[in-house]
Amino acid sequence: MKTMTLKKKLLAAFLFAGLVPVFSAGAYLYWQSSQAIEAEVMTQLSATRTLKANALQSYFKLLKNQTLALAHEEQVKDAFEAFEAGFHNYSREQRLSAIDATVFRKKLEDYYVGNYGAEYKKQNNGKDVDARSLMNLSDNGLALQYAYIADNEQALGSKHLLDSYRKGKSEYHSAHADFHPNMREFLERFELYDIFLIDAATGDIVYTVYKELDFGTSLKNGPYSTSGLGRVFRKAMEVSSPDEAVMEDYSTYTPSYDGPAGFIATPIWVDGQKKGVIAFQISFDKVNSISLEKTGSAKTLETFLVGSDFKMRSDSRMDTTNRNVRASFRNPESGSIQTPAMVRAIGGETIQQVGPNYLKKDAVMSIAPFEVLGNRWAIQTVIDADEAFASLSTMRVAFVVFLLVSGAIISFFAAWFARSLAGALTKVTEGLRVEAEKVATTSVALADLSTKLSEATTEQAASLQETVASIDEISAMISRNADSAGASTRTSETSTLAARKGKEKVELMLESISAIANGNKEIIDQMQKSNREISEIVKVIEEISLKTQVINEIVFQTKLLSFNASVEAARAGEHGKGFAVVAEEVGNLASMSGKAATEITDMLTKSVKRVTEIVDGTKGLMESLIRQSKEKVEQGTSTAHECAQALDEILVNVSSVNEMVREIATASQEQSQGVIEVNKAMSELDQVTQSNSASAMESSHSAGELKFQAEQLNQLIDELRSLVAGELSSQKQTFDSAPRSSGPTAGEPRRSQGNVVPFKSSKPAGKLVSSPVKQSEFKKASGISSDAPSANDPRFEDV
Amino acid sequence: MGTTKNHSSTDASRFMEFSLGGESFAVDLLLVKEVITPPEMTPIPKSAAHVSGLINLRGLVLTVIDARKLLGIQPEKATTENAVIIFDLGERLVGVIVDSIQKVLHVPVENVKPVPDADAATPYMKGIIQFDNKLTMLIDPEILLAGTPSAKHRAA
Repeated sequence: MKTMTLKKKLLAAFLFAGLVPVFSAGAYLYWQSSQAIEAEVMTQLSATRTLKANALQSYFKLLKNQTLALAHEEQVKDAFEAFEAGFHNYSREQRLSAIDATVFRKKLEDYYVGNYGAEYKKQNNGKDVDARSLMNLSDNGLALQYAYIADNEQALGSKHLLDSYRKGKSEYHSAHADFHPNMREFLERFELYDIFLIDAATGDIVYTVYKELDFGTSLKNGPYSTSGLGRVFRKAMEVSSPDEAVMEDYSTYTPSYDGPAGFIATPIWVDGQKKGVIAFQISFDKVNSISLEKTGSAKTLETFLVGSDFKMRSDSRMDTTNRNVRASFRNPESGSIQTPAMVRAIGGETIQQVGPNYLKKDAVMSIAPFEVLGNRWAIQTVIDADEAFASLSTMRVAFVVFLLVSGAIISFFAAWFARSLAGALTKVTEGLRVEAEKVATTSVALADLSTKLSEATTEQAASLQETVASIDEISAMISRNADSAGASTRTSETSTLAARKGKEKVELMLESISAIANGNKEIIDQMQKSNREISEIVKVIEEISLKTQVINEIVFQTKLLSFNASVEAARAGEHGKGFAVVAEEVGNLASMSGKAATEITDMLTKSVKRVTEIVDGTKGLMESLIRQSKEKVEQGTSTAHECAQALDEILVNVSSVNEMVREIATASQEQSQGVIEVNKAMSELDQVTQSNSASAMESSHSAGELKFQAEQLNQLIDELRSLVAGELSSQKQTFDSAPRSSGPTAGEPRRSQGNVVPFKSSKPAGKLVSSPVKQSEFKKASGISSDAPSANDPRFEDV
Repeated sequence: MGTTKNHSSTDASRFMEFSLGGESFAVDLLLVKEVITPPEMTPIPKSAAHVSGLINLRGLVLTVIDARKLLGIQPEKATTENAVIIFDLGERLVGVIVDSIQKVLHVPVENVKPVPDADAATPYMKGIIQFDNKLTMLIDPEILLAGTPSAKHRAA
């Protein structure tokens, strides 16, 4: 119940209040009705049973009365006496020999084994019977059985239709002819199975209507002396009053092919003496017709009789195959009804009950003992429970429907009412809770805020320290800057000087290069000059050569002249001899001078060639050398020019560097000134931060208290809520949404880190600011003081 | 001068020695009218290949034969030493261009040998001059120039 919401509780209450009376009233009514119906059914059943019992009783009474009436009938007495006398005298009267007896026995044996045996086999599921052992007959019995059974032209089971045996005359035959039709008529009118007339002295059955195998046998020592008929005969013989009849309960009876047979018998009194016995074989067809007669329209209603051996005494309507009289005796296993109720009824109790019947089916039954002429039977009237209580089941359905409908209606109204009521309450609670949560949230937020504020101030202080440290570094850097600036000024001056020197050197170099260039030019000029001179020499040589040619020409001409002179001298003969010699000498001289001239020419040619070669060689070499030196000079010049340009640029840059360094120095001084001012401001800021931190602590403390109050309120509201909503889980949910401590009594701060104010700050607050702004560093940076800071800085203790 | 004296003391003949394609040839000095430097020549159309042309020698027109072409010697460039020998063949004057004129040989008669083998001889070869350990072929210009066109002696 604790976990249920108010709504559910209300709903449950309404349902309880509404449904319990409805249900109990309904249940009570249903119970009452069922009781009434059951009683009604029982009453009906017992009425039916009584009715049937009465009818059956009156039938058995009628049967008894019929027996008595026949026994007292004079005609029957006459008939008995006639049959008795005729029976006993028959073989003597007919003068039957042993041969006849043999013939009769032979014929009868054929009948016994053939007709009877076959029928027996048919009715007993193929079981054979030792028919010959039944042929325990007296001579008279044998002869009469032969006459009325074996020699009877009527078929088996219809032997009673023979009125009289025509072959030969005898007392018996004539008595038979006289009385048999009346007896048969009587049997048919009273619907009996058979009527027996028995000689009291010998036990011989002197007459039967149907002429079965019992006809002619003795009930004292014959084959059927121990049968039901035998027993009823003996009982009848013990009767003392003429108004008394006895009954033998159903048992298997061999002449009826071991089918069940019950008998009623009474003595035949003649002159106060029991001369004989008349016996009826009871027809269970008649009994069945009474018990099976329908009363009312119930389909499963039936009434039947059961004997003390629990075998059927009348057929069942519901189990016609196993529970009929014949089947019950043939197969007692499946044909008996030995229910506990039946056992009790046989024991004398009358039983009305609902329970499983012999077919293991729920049934309403009424069983009572049934006394029949000294035999204890039971009569049972039974009906299937389904049928009997059909109206009850209908009522049950109606009741359930009614219960469901009324339950639904009640539920609906209960739900509606519970919801509206619980809704109103929940709304109020929710409202309260929301407000409380708001307060809690606000206080938490406040606490958070003050925590944050505290953290922020701490952070601020830390930042301040960092800033101070940074400023310190900046200051250091500034002074380093200034130093560097000075150093770079010096360096730049040095480099200016170096650059200027370099420039001068380059200029000198340029001059040298141009001097080299000029020198080269002069060399070239000289070379060209010398070349020219050489070519002039060559020209002279060539002129010489030309002259030499002229000489050669002259030599040639001279030679020719000398030859011609020789020719003329030869022509002149002896006179010309001396001339010839002169001519020859001239020719020789000419040849010699020609030779010399040729040598001169050769030498000249050689020298010209040599000179030309030398000139050409020198010229080429000189040209390439001059070209190379020219290129080199040009290169050197351009390099020197570039160098000069670079140095110029260096000079310019150095001067601008100098300018910048001067500016840096100025700026550094200004920065230094600024840093001092910043330091001053920082110390002021530090003061403010400290006081901020203190304020944050105070507000955090207040917020904690507020939060505690809010939580108490919240708890109260939760109680109310759990009352209304019945959920413990909802409480949890509520508190999870708003962060809270483990309880207001817990003095431990939630965050041991401590920058949050605990709810009840019993500990010194100094712990809360764990790093109380490393003042020393700050001061060191600002250059004021250098007190070693401690966690218990006195400034924080009063927070 | 001494050698000349030696030659004159014996029965000696005079020959004009000239060179053609490096070989020395000689002719009887008496058959030579004169030697001249090669003058300007007027080519004769449709003439034989060895006929260089016509020249005017102091009013006389005569044919000039190229000895090299005539003798089937490879022609050489004209040098300053080229000369034309004017042969006086009695009936006619013929100019022959030679490479150069060597000298006037003055050799004893026994030094002029006949052509040793008739097979090797050609009709214009008159003999071999053995002189100064050197063999010079003696040519008969009349036979050599027999088939060549010629200018009649003072034909005009």
